[in-house]
Amino acid sequence: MAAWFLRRLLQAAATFLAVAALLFVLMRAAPGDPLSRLTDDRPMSQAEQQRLKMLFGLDQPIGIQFRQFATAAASGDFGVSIEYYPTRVNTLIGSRLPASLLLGATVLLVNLGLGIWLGVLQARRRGSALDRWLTRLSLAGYAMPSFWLALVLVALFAIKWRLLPAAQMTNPLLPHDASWFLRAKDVLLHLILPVVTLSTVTVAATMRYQRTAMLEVLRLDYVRAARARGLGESSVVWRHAWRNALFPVLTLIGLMLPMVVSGSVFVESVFAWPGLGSLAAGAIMTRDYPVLMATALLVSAAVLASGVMTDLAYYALDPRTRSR
Amino acid sequence: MTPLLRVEKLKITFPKGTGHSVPVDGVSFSIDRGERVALVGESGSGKSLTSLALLRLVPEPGRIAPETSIQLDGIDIMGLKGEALRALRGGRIGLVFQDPMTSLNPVLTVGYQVKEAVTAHHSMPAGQAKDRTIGLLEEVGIPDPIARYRAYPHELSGGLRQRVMIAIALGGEPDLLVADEPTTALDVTVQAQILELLDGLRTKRNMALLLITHDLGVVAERTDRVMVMYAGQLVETAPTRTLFAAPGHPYTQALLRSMPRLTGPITRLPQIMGAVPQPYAWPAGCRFHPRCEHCIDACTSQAPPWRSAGPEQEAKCWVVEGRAP
Amino acid sequence: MTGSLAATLWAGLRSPSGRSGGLLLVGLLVLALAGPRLLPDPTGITDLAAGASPPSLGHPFGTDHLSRDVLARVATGARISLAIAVLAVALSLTVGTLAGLIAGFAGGWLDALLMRMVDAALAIPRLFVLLLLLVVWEQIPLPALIGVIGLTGWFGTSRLVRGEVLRLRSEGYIQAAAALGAAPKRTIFRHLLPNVLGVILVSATLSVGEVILLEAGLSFLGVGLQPPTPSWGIMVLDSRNHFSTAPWTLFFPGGMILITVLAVNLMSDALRAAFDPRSA
Repeated sequence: MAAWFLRRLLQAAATFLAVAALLFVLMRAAPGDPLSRLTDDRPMSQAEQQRLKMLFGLDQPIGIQFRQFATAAASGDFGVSIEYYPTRVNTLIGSRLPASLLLGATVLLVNLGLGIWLGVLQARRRGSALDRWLTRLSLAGYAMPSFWLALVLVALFAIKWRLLPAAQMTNPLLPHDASWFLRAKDVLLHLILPVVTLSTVTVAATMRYQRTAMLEVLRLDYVRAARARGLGESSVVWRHAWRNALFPVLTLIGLMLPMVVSGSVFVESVFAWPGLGSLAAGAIMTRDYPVLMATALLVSAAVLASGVMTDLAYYALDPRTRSR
Repeated sequence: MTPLLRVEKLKITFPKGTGHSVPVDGVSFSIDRGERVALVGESGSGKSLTSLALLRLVPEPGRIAPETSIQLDGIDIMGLKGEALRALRGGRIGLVFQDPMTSLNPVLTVGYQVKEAVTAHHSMPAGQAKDRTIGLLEEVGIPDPIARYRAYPHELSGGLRQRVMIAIALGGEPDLLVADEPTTALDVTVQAQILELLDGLRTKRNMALLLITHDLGVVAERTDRVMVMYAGQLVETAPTRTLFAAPGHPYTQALLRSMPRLTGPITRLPQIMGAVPQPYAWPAGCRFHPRCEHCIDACTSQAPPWRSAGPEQEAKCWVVEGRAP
Repeated sequence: MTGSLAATLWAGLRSPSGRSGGLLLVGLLVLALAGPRLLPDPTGITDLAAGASPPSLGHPFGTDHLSRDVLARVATGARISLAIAVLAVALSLTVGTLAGLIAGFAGGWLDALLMRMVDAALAIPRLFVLLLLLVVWEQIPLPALIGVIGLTGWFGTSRLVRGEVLRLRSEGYIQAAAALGAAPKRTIFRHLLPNVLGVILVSATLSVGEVILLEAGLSFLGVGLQPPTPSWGIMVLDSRNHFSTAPWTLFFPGGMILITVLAVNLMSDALRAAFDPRSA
């Protein structure tokens, strides 16, 4: 098992290097200059400028530049931000990560709870009015542009009805000596709309996958055999059927995991949620290439890592993968 | 003595297009305590559905008709709901399914699944449940039961899996054990072992045994009585010896003739001409008449009644007399 | 072969989700094709002073803050979104199928190299790839935008096609065809493609929806298409400063995105159910 895991990690590492290579090619192939904003009256030190030019400058010899680039990717150091000089890119990313983690983790939990439960419910009541309505809702949710939903929710809940805050993670007017309880409540209130927005789109997908998987499993022989044993309905549904129907959803959740890191560029942008997503959105506007590139690499790393974690989960949950 | 199980007018319908197909059509029989009964028929005869009906496990969109009555020890099975139905399944009637590979949950250990069957019907502390489970595994002849307790279904051979299925069916200490083609998915050598196991278990626990099969060879030694099913109906019932010595119904006769034998002259294996009819298109009159060599006019239009063909032997046939041809 | 494919497609179209989706799409097509001809010029600013006005008989979707008729802009936006989506997906499909076929048939180092590249490409979220490109390529012309979107979306298809090729190769009849001396090209077209087509079609229709959302999102973030082009995403972006006083400028463009993607997804569902009835 350890050998398998090691091999899998090495595989992910190799793919990460391929990712860096692809991004490098992308950078050089695009017509335009990644460092176009570098000379706009920036009081940047020569050393910093040189570093950025070495990584992103197009007049550099390819071989040397790629080596620098790959090293930067491996070590995670992409110099300073063009817009936020003298802040280093890493520091910037590090400061924004917690907010994205909070948003992403909450959405993930909602999916694990609500998404799965609704999907199973649909499968159990297949063909009923509830099933049909939930299907329509999930189809709509799946088709919804997240940035639009975000704006609509803001328009209704924040502006029209003044129930919830329109933006950011905290209330800037909160007094310095406010208790942690008040602070927590503040963050929670701010969290609601972004979570609802992101959850709508993701739960729609989770529900559909779970429903399909559950329907497949429920007609299998061993589910009927479980009933024949005299097991109660909830045992049959959860301990026998769902235990086998969770796999496609597991893969889907694995695909959603990177969102924990990146938040969502659209949602964070609309809500000015201080996470990685809004950092990227800001970097677009200011053409802050180092920040964009670093974020892209980080999210890619997250995708690869979650791939490994999904494989691990399968290994733990499906005994058939273990006897190889 | 009142029988343990009494089935009257079992009828199962499935919607088909705008109409219905009736794969089980008016089956009635009873089984006494401790009796060993075989239900024999080809695939498509409705025998598996019959066994599922006893536990009210007929798959959707199938329905058991309201005129059906199934009584177990005086309990009306058709009227059971919720907790009582759950207690019946595995607790009074145990069902051993046909294919042990697909009937066992692949992600749960074998021991867990047997234990479930035990604790579903008798609450007991965890340690005792595990001991009882290991005891069951041993009883069904699984070597090294303590190690096998932790095994997953895909790690076991076909014969062992079938034994596990039997252990599960016994977990609730049922009065009636129904085994649906318990040997079909197995090698010939293993078949005999399983049959012997079933027989021994039955004697030890004084259970009734309903053995469902298409294989007459399986039936010969280890059953007291045989019921023959064709096209959704019972066509003959008789004590086992009698059936083999003097089959009453032409279908039974044809079945016996088509069995390959090790002894006697080597001749062409007789077939039954024609094919098994479909549940939505049962022939009129006697359902076997298109394939029957004794068919007379009455058979084509009137459904035959039950007629005596010998001591304790009945056949549903116009042509049958007191003895076999 | 193609006969049964057409039959399956037709069955898919007749199902309830196929009908709703189909109907919506037809409506959208009419809007996209006829709308810009029949409705007032979307870029023409008639009366600056009038500002945004709510939906009325003359302007069924109202006007925006620059007095432009929203319905007309939405119709032009439909043209843009549908054109971009269909063309980009067509490109993705072609490249992806080719790559999948090559990888599946060639095997060996070529297969390994291609698949490693696909794995890497799939690890980078499509949005970020496009962001990195478009941030640098500031005035990207429309054909190039379509090309770029298409070229970032073929990886999944190639995996699908390769999977099918490998699966079908191990099945008897491909080997039988080869044994009979059939040339590889014949094998591909006669035997492989019909089987793969079903899977590809389902994935393609879903991709159209994805691209519509993607393009709208990019426009919303300020890259790709630029104002005054009435892309739906840009219209939503424009409405950000005005939606408290003129909510229709937010509602209609976004709603159109929703309806269009919904229609396309319904079609995809109908197709999937038609090709694989068990999944309904």
